[in-house]
Amino acid sequence: MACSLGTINSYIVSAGVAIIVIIIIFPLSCSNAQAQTNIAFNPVDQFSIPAYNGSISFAVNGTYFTATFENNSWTFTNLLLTGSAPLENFEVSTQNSNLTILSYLTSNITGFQIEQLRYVVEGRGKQIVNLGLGPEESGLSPIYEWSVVVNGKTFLSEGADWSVSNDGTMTINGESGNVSLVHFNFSDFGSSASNSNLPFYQQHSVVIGIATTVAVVVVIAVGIKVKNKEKPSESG
Amino acid sequence: MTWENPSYIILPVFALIVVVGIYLIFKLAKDKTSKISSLRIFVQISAVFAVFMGLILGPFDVPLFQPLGPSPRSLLVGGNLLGNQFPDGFSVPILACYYPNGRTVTCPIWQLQAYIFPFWNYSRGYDVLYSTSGLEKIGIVIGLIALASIILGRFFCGWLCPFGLYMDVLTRIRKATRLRHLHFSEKTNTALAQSRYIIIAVFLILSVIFGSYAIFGHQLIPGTSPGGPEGTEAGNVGFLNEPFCQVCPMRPLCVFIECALGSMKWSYVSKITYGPLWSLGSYVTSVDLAVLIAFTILALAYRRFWCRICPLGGLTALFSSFTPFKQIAMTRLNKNEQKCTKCGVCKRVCPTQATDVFEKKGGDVTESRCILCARCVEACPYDDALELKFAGKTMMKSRNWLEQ
Repeated sequence: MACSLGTINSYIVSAGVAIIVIIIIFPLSCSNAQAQTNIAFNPVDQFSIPAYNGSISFAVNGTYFTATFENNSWTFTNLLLTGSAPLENFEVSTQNSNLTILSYLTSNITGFQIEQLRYVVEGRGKQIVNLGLGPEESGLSPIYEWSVVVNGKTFLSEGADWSVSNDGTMTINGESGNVSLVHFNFSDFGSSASNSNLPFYQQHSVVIGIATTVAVVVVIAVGIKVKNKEKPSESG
Repeated sequence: MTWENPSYIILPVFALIVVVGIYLIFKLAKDKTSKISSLRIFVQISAVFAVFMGLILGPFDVPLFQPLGPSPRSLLVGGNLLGNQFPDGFSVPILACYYPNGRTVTCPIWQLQAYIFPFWNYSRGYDVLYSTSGLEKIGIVIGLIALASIILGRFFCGWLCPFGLYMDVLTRIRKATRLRHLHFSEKTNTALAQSRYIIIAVFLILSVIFGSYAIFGHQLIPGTSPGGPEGTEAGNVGFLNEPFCQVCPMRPLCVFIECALGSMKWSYVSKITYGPLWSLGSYVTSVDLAVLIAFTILALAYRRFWCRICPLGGLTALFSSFTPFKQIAMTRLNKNEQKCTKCGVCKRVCPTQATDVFEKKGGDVTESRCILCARCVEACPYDDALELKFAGKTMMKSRNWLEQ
């Protein structure tokens, strides 16, 4: 006896095969840096800066894609420490001190973006750090702020103890101990401000899209209803 | 352990398993009176995995989410996709609770409550920044519910809702013990169905009342304004803005299962539960626990008891079972009057005691109580007497299984 579910059987199998083919092909065609091989490191590994009498190490295991030494500075790409957020581009140097990176954390739980780098410094030298956050915009109302805290209680002052250049490079002078660099990004706070420059249809693209889709589906449904009404009804 | 975008492997594998599973059920299920039921429970289980896919996919070990356990309470669909215009996830008319870890879609009832309060204007939300007003987000939610309802109606309830699966599992447990289920009278069942609309209206009004301090600038009920940050006793008062979520049984069910699986820490859950008898909490309270226990017992006695009063089901039914939406709903249950012998099997097997399939003479017999589970189609012993149709095409139809 023909299975009454035979029709839906073939529809579903055909649709399912099509979906699987699309899902498998799509990510393969878009595969990019996910195929890269990262290099692992552990706390024993040292990244020396002989000319500056300094070295960089990490307190935990991690991986990076590349680590290049140029101009007495180490640049890591796709750096990922265990228990930390990924760092796409991390440039670090240290003079007359040894620097051990503890963690890199990010958060927008407060409604604006925060990044925090924690490290331990041995020796009173100079540390130069760039977290790859991009250039700092200047103006009457700065939308970025940095804070540097040593040993959990001493806030260092900008100018005297640390400085930041236009490209976002932080320089911290003469401190040792546990250092915490925190970067606050207020530019997205009240993101209506950032969206207000967009045209109306872009600011409200989601609701416009949903409304359009509903209208299209209603039109299609009405069309189907009319078409089925024109067929002779079997159901009384 | 940190996973690097495992979705490229997990999603295709999941899709393959679902398709192969459906095919095998069609091919291997011999008992024609339970083939659709077997298919349905498989689809329900697959839907649960899809809804909570974030528990399987990473990223794991995100320090921000450490207190919640090893998996993130983050969104897979709609969160980053739609940006800050609509960052809480796609609204799908199933009880995909907002609170547990790893969910991919969001319960529309939570969204309606959250967007009534306190986000009339551009503002911060729950750890997010919205670039759209509360009214606009409510419009999006209603649009998505309408879309889902016009296309599939209460098919979501019968085939995709995780809490529906929970009740179906309870039904199977009851059947295994050979206990008979109970029936409501038609009058009681109708009253329960009508109570859905009252329930949703009451809780949305309560959401406005409890959120009045933000909406109108002063508290309509003293003590409803949060006095501290989220996660503290004073701050948890703010959760009264989502009054339905304080009584919904899905939230504690999800939390308990995730704690049992290890994807949420009970120490964290209990830490943010306060007051005598847990009167206030971010995840579990005495009220929603009591509701879960009550509905578990009731679902053992009455099939799909929650579905009879589910306000989300009522919302879905509004857009699929009542004029003018009923005229254009794409998924329907159709009856052929000539082939129906009024044997009453359809009425007996219906888990929500929907009666139009038996009472009505012919044509479209979909009603607001019907969850389109197709149990009647499966049980009806007459060829083509009942059909489940989508866009006018027959997807399933009854067959004479008596002559197998």
